[in-house]
Amino acid sequence: MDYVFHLLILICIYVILTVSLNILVGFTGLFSLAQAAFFGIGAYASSLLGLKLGLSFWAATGIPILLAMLIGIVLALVTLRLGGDYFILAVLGFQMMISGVLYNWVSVTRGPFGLYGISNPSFLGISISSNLGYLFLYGLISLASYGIIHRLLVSPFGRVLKAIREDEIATLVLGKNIVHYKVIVFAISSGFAALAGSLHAHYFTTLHPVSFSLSESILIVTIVIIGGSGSLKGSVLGTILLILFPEALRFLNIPSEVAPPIQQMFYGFLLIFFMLFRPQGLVGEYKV
Amino acid sequence: MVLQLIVNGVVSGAIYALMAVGFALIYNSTHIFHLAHGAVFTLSGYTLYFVVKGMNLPLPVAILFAITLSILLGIAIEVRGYRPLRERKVSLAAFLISSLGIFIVVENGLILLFGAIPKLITEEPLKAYQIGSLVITQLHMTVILCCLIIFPLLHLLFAKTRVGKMIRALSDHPELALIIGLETRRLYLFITILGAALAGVAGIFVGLDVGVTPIMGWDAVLIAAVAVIIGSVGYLPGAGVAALLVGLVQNLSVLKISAQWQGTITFGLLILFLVFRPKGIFGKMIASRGA
Repeated sequence: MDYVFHLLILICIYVILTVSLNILVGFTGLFSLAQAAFFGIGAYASSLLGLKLGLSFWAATGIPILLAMLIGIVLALVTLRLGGDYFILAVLGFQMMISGVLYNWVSVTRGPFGLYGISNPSFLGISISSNLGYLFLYGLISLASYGIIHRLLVSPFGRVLKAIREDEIATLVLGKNIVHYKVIVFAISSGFAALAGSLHAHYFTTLHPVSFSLSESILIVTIVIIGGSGSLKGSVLGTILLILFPEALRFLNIPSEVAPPIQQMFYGFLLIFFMLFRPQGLVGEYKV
Repeated sequence: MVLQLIVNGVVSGAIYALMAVGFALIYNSTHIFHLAHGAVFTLSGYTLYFVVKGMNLPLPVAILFAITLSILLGIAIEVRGYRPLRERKVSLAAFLISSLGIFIVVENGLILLFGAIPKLITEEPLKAYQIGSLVITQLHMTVILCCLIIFPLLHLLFAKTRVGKMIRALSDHPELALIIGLETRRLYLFITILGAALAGVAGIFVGLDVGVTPIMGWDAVLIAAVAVIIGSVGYLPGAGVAALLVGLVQNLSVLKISAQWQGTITFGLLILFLVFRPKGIFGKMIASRGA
């Protein structure tokens, strides 16, 4: 049963992550390959605040969210002046730089050795250590995040985002400050990714930079594309499918050293297939 | 020491230039962010490894195989991957995602076949010449020599020949090119073949120099993309010059900063350019050509 709880906890963390990326890719039309970087900023900042300053789970989650939003705003201001492809490459460059920092800034991040001994979260004064407890807490946070993002996207703000996605110039003509909207969206998306990072850190209690590399960003993009760009339900569906898929491989008795490449190849084929035949994903509304 | 680093920088810059010019060729005319360029590069290196190590055939045969397979993969990507998307007029992000998918498939296919561990192609130390305190291997001389042959030929192709002019027309205005009756399908195929061959050559050099790993394509294609932007999109020689610059900066930075930061430095350079000079080094020249 603990194993089922573990998978559900993973799904809770990844739902926040994929939904946060979907705001960018599916609702605003900004293709970003740096979600894992913000995920990592959240995870590392939260762990370091706990380990070095002894901050509690909640403080060590809130501050990284603000930090990630700030970094998101700066990155957005720098990159959004540029056209589509420049934006994609600049954001990708940001992902590579954060990966580089996590691996090489050994005095702070301990580089390839990773961080460990991160504290458990506590909720209403109770320290959480069982998987059921985690599931309860993370389930609540995940639902709340989904609710907030959903509320945001059906609001007039969300409709402007969709308008930007469909026709930037027309939206500009209607008197909407596009850059302003995009910067806010970027900040919100980064903040939720950092929240997911903090949850990740306090669940596993150890961190390794590989969890926040480019391939993680690609996985998050894959989930969003397959689930459906522009559909939050699609992101949830995609998350469930792609978190459970490696577990299914495990039951097929595929040797553990060939399982990851097979899994990756499958994702690659899915991306090609969906672009050719179903660019809106399983249940999405926006054809990337 | 500094002189040696400059020489090393020129050599890695020359290899980056092969990648970057191929990437720029495809990017300028199709506007596809061709990540799978890195897959072609990796496949070339592994083909070389397999033919030399697995089939025990001599190096020239292996090189022929490597280039042929690179071109075939390039054609497959264009015909099966990009062409159907182009004819449906999808967004550029869709091309990018498809390209990413192709890259992942090839990369992990190679991991399944050969494992994730780096492989060496030549075990014996490379022949080297010593000039004073400067050491340069035979391979590195070949790299520079090859570039000195390939790039002027490319320049001639684009400046003088009919097909070169057609490609330039296509890059400037795809719809107009179609209207005046250019066979755009065949031109795109030609561009793909040219780009894939360049990536193939780069893959061979890197394979011979430091060996092959399944993930080698990532760095190669990302550096190429960075060079294309720094060297001004739309200006082919710019990509080559910028690649050389990246190679030099990476190697000279070792003087001050430890080598594992090279990747971070490259992307830092990109962000600096994007902030302060988003049109790249040669931005003014493109503007004055009216393109």
